[in-house]
Amino acid sequence: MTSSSASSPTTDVVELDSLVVLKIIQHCQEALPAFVTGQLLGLDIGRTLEVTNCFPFPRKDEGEQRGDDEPDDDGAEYQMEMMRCLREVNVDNNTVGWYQSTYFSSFIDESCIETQFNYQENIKNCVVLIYDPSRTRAAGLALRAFRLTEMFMSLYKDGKISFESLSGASRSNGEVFHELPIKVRNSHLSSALLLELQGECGINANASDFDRLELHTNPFLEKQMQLLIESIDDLQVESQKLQHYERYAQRQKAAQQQYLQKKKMEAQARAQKGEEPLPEEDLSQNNLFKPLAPPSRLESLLISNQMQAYCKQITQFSGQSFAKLFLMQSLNQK
Amino acid sequence: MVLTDKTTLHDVGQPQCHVRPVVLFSIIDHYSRREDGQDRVIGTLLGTEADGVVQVCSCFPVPHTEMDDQVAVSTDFHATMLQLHQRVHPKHKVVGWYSTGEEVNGSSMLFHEFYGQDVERPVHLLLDLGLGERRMSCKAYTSVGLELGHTLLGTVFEEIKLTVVNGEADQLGLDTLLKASADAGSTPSSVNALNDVDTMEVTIKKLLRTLEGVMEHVEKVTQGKAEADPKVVRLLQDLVASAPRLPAAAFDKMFNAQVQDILAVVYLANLTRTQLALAEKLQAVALSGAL
Repeated sequence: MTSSSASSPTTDVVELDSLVVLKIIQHCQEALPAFVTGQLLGLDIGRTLEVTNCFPFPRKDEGEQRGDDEPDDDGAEYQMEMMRCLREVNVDNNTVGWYQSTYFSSFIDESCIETQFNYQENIKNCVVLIYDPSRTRAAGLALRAFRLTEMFMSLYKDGKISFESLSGASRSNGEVFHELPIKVRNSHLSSALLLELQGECGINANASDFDRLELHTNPFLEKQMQLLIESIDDLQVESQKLQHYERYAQRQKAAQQQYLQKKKMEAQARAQKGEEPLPEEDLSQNNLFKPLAPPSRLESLLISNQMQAYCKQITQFSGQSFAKLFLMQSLNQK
Repeated sequence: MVLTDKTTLHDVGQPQCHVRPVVLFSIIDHYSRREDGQDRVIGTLLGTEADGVVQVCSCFPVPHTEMDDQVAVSTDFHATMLQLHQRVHPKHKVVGWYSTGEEVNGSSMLFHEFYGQDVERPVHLLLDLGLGERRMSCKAYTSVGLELGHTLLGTVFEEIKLTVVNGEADQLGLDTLLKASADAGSTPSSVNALNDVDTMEVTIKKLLRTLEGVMEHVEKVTQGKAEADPKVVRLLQDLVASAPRLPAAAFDKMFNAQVQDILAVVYLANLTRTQLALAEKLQAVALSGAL
């Protein structure tokens, strides 16, 4: 499956079939307000990742009612079975990633990272598609493709995201996700169907276009600010944890030093009195010398990435609002 | 003729069929992935039925073979797939089946009977892909027993009313696809998904063009070059009436307030980003100092 990916480890573009776009939208939109996930199937050709089909996963909360261990097994079995069936009808059955719906690009959390990591480790060119129903209404289709960056992959693989490893990597900006451009591809037949449907349902390409000029943008901004504030609070908590750890580590160091000093004094005293030196003490057995577990920096790395994403989004959104406002102004002057 | 024929008359008592666009796309996808030498594909339609309206929400392909008069459907496959689908959408039931092709034929009857085991009144969706000279068309049928006295002579496929319905979700998706295909001309297309600012620009340009068109028309009418259409005039009046009349001062005040708000937000967002970047740098410096 990954034979072609070995020579070209990264993909540049994600190509979505029109069917996939529609299926994802339908699944995500119908499941609102719950968030759903699903699997992407397709082919990995050179530097393009073609997504030609997809299927939804059953919702997690339904699985949880049946017990704790079951849903995972169930999910895997469901996935295998579905892929077997799809292969039988000649659908490309290579896994190329998964999709998820979420609000306001607030997708950067541990569970998402973990899933994507698992995918990406097994099959190199996997992507995660993020669908944002809230933004779809405001700004056209909001489907975005992401991959974990190489640097983050290797860090996460080692399991420890510590202060040191992070600082070594921070030269590459400490980004967790890397966005890929998306293309939409229509086959000849689906283009034909699309044109037929255009007449059929009276879909006017204009209609939804002008919806975008909606001036009432404040609720969106408010919500985004609120999310940003929440993540700032989280970051605060994280940094307090870190400070706490540092203070504690320092105190421990001081105590250790004191203890050693005392030992030295004792040894000197004994030497002066001409007694036998005390046997060497195994320091690692001593409570004082137990190494402290440094707090994981993963959480704060994720939060700061999330904040970056929020800020970017707010800036983008405001840019649009400005355009709208000035349009309104010039219209009013006429 | 368009995709669904609206000129045909239907009985009021007949069931109606509503189909989501995604179903049609799935069928097309299935057709383009058919086995070598196979003329048509069939599959199961899933959805709900209420008040004589059959809603087709999704579908899945079913492999089958056709030899002369005999047909075989992979029933195992059908059962497994149905079970899998119902785990995601427990409310969806089998409502019928689809096939591609020009017309209902002898073997259609056999398939229909197979689906009749599951559903009381299966719906048959026939999608003519319009290869060759014809245009694409889509029809829905249901079967009616043909009786003479009390003996059943046969079964007739009766065409029922079919509508392609757009939920909000479909609308969004189709819009995007349409735009994508319009941007790239009529060739099978691959288009960059649109970015925010660009779409805004496109929209504004479109608005300008539309306004210019309206102005042009109005000018023509006032100069007596074109007929005034009462309908258009009424629409124009509505348009003018719908624009709120604000005193310039009030508008300026609102406008400025809004601009200030957004500026403040942008400022805060950028400030946060700067802080984050700064924190990162400081951490790096502190560590390299410590090491």
